[in-house]
Amino acid sequence: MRIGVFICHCGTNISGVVDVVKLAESISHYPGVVISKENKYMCSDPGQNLIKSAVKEYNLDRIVVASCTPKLHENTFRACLEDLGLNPYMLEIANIREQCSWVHSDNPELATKKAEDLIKMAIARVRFAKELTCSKVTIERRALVIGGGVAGIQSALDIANAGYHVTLVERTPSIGGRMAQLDKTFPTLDCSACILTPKMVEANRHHLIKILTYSEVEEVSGFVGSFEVTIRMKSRSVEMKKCTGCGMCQSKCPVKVDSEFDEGLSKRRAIYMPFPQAVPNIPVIDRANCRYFLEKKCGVCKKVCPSDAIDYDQEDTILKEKFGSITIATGFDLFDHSAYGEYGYGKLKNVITSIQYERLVNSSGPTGGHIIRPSDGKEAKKVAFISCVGSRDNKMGKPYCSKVCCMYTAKHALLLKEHVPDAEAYIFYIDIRAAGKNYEEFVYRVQENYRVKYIRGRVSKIFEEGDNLIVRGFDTLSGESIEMEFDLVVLAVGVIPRKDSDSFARMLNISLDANHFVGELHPKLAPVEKNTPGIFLSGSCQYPRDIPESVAMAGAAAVKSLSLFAKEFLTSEPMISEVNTSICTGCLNCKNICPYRAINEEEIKDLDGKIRIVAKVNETICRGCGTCVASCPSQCINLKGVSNEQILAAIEAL
Amino acid sequence: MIRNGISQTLALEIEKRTKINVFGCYQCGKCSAGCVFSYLMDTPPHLLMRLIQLDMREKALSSNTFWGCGACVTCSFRCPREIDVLRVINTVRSIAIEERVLSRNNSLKDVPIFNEIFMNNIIGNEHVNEFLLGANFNLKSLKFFKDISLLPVLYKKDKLTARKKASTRNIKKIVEGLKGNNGI
Ligand SMILES: Cc1cc2nc3c(=O)[nH]c(=O)nc-3n(C[C@H](O)[C@H](O)[C@H](O)COP(=O)(O)OP(=O)(O)OC[C@H]3O[C@@H](n4cnc5c(N)ncnc54)[C@H](O)[C@@H]3O)c2cc1C
Ligand code: SF4
Ligand code: SF4
Ligand code: SF4
Ligand code: SF4
Repeated sequence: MRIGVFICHCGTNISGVVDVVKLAESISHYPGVVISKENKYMCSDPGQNLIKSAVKEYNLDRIVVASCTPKLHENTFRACLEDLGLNPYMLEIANIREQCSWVHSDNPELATKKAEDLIKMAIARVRFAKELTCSKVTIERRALVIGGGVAGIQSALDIANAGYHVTLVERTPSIGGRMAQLDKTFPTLDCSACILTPKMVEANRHHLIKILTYSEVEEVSGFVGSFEVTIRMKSRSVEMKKCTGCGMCQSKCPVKVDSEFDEGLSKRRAIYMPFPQAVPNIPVIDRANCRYFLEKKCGVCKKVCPSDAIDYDQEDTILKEKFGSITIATGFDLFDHSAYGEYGYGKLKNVITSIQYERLVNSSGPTGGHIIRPSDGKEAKKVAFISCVGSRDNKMGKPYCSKVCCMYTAKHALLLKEHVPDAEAYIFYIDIRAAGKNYEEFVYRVQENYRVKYIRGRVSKIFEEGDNLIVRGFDTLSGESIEMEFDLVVLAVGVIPRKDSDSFARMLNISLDANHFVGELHPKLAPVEKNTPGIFLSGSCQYPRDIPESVAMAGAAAVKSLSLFAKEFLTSEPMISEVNTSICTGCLNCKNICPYRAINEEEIKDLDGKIRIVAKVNETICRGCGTCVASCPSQCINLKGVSNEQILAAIEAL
Repeated sequence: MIRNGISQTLALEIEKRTKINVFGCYQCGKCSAGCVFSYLMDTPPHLLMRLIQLDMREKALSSNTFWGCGACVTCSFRCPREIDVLRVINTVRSIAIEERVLSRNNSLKDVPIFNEIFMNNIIGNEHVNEFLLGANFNLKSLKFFKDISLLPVLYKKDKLTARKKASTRNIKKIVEGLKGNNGI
C-alpha cells in the first residue's frame, strides 16, 4: 500500500490558519504514507501535475487530498487519478477548509491539530478503499411534460423540434393554461390568444408530440433515463376519433353550470369545450353535472350528435409508459380573497378578481369586452384596483411578492381607459415592481398618458353602500386619509402554488420550497432542475413568473432534457449499497426503510440447497444515502466507498 | 435633515419593552387607512412607525398619535406584517409620560391632562369619581366653567358623593404592572 498525501493552501484560505508546511512534514512520517506535499492550489493545473508526477515517481496506488469540501473538487481529483490509469475511487478528501480553517480561524494551533486528525482519518479510510466501477444505463429518449400551459407547450415544442418524442399531459379538457384566459398582455399589449393559439395548434399538429388532455399522471417510479409513469386519461364520454368539433351537442345540452374558463362570469353546458379555440377541439361530458349520469335521463347530446361520437360507457384509460425525463409545468393557482374579512369575505358582488377582470375586458369574453359590474350590469365608470391581495402578507401566510400583479394591474387600468375613455382608474399599491424589459416605461405611460391615479397605501376596508363600494385607504405620500366610492373593485389576487402541490410532490417524490412552490435545485445555478436527476421545471410552478420568463424557462428546461438525450448512456453512481447475502437474515428492515424504494427481496439457494430470502439492491435506483446500512441488525448491508470498516478505521485513527 | 446616519435607540427601547421589531414595518399604510382616529393625529400610525425606524425620537415622543388613539386595535389586527401597532403606540406614550415630553401639537393638549387625572383618580379611589375628575380637569385645563351646567344632573343621579374607599393597594399593583408599555 503506497499512499500519497497532498495538502492545499487554498491561497490563504487554509494556510492562513493551518500550518500546512509543518503538517506536510509530520504526516510524511505516518505509516503507509510514502510522500506528503503541500501546494498553493491543489485544484490548479500545477497542483494536479504535482499529484501526477508524485504518483509516477513514487508508484503510489492511492491518495489523500486535504483541501476544500469534496462537493467542489472530488471530481477534479478523481479525473486526475483516471488520467493516471488508477481507479478514481482510490481517493479520499480531508475537508480542512469548511470543516477546519474557516470555522477555527481564532485558534490556529488547535486548528492545525484538527487538520492533522482529519487527514489521519482520511488516510485510514483510503487504506480500505476498493476499486469501484460505474455501470452503464440506457436512456429512454422520450420526454414527459406535465401541464399544458404556455410553459409546458413551449417545452414540448422545443424538445420535439430537436427530434424527440414528447407526451404532454394536461389535466383540463384543453391545453393553453392561464394565458388562454388573458386579454392583452403587458407590456406590449399583444392579444394573448393571438400569440398563444398558434403555439397550441403547432403542438397539436407536431408529429412527435402526443397531447393527452383531461388526463393526469398517477404514479411515477424509476429514475433518470427510465421513469415508469402511469397516466390516467379520464373518460371524455366523447369518441375523439369520431367527433368533428361541430358543437351541436353543447348548443342543445339543457344543463348550465358556472364556466371555469370565464371564472364564473358565464355558464357552460354539461358537455362543453372550455373555449372556442380549445385544443383539442373536442368536448367532454362533465359527468358530475350531466343529467344522463345523475338521473339516467336526457341523452340529448347523443341524439343530436351527427357523428355518433357520444359514448356514455367510455371508461378511463390507463397508460403505462417509460420516459427519460420529466418536465413539470403545472403553473399556479390564485389566492382566495374570501380570507380577507376587511374586503368583505369574498361576498361583495362588485368586488371581482383580476382574472375575472381579464375575462370581462376580453372582447370574446362573457360580456363581449364590456366592463360591467356583476350586481346590475351597469358599465363601470370608477374602478379601484387593489394590489398585493394575498401577497406580501405574513398574516395570510404569503410573505412573498407575486411578481406579475403590479404589471397586470397597470395593464388593467390602461385597458379600462381604452374601453371606457371617461372612466376613472385608481390603483392602490405599496410599491410598484416593474423590473422587466420595458416594464417601467409601461407604468410611466399608464401614469402620464392615461392619467391613472396611483395611491400609495394598502386598503384597509371595503364595504357596500347600496350597489356601490366604499374603499377606505390612505395616501402615505401626502398623509391624506381616503374614503372613496367606486362602481367596481378589482383585487390583484396573489399567485399561489397549485392547491394539490403537496400530493403532487409526494407522487413524484420531490421536495417543495417553503411556500409550497416546486422549488429548484439551486436558486442561482440550477433554476430549472430538481434535486431528483431527470426532473426539470418550466414556468410558474417554480415561483410566480410572467409569460416571457415562463417561456425562457421552458426553453431552458427543454435543453436539460435534450442534453440528457444526447448522451449515449448514463453511468450509474458506484457508491451504492451492497448486501452480503451469506449473512443476510432476510429481515428486510432495509427494504422498508429505503426512501427510494431501491431494495427488493430475492430468493437464493444455500449451499445445502435450501431456499431463503435475502435483500437485493437495485443498483440503478439506489442513491447511496446509507439509510439501510444503519438499519441492518446483522451489519450485512454496506455502502461501497464508505464501508463500515472504513468508518471504524477512521474512528480508530483518532 | 438627516446627516449623520441613523441610529436605533428608540427602536431598541421599544424592542426591549415589547419584543416588537419595528423594522418589520414596510410602510404600507394599512394601519393608518383603517384607523378611525387618524384624522385627529398629526402623525398617523404608519408615520409614527417611520419616525421610530428613523430614530427621530423627539418627533415621535412629541407626536399626538397616542393621545388621539382610541385603542380599538384595528391597526394591529390588520397589519400584514403582524406588527402589534397599538402596543408600539402605547409604549411610545409610556416613554413620553416617563420623560415628560409634551405634544408639539396643541389640538389634543387636554387629553394628557385628562389621562393623568383619570389615572390618579383610579389609583387613589379605586374607581372614578366624576366630581373630582371634572373639578380637577377644569382647574388644570384652565376651563373653569366647562360642563358646569351638568352639575345638577349629576347631583340628582347621586354621582357627586365620594364613594367608600376600597383597598387601593391592589389597584396600585395592577397599574404598576401595566406601566412601561401600556401607555401608562
Ligand atoms: C390576472 C393575470 C393577468 C396576467 N397578465 C399577464 C400579462 O399581461 N403578461 C404576462 O407576461 N403575464 C401575465 N400573467 C402571468 C401569466 O398568466 C403566467 O406567466 C403564465 O400563465 C404562466 O404559464 P404556465 O404554463 O407556467 O402556467 P399555467 O398557465 O398555470 O399552466 C399550467 C397548466 O398545467 C395544468 N396542470 C396543473 N396541474 C396539473 C397536473 N397535476 N397534471 C396535469 N396538468 C396540470 C393546468 O391545467 C394548466 O393548463 C397574468 C397572470 C394573471 C393571474
Ligand atoms: S346527456 Fe348530459 S351532456 Fe348530454 S345533453 Fe344531456 S345533460 Fe348534456
Ligand atoms: S407584484 Fe406588485 S402587486 Fe403583486 S405582490 Fe408584488 S408588489 Fe404586490
Ligand atoms: S400596517 Fe403594519 S406594515 Fe403597514 S404601515 Fe402599519 S405598521 Fe407598517
Ligand atoms: S388602536 Fe389606535 S392607532 Fe390603532 S387603529 Fe385604533 S385608534 Fe387607530
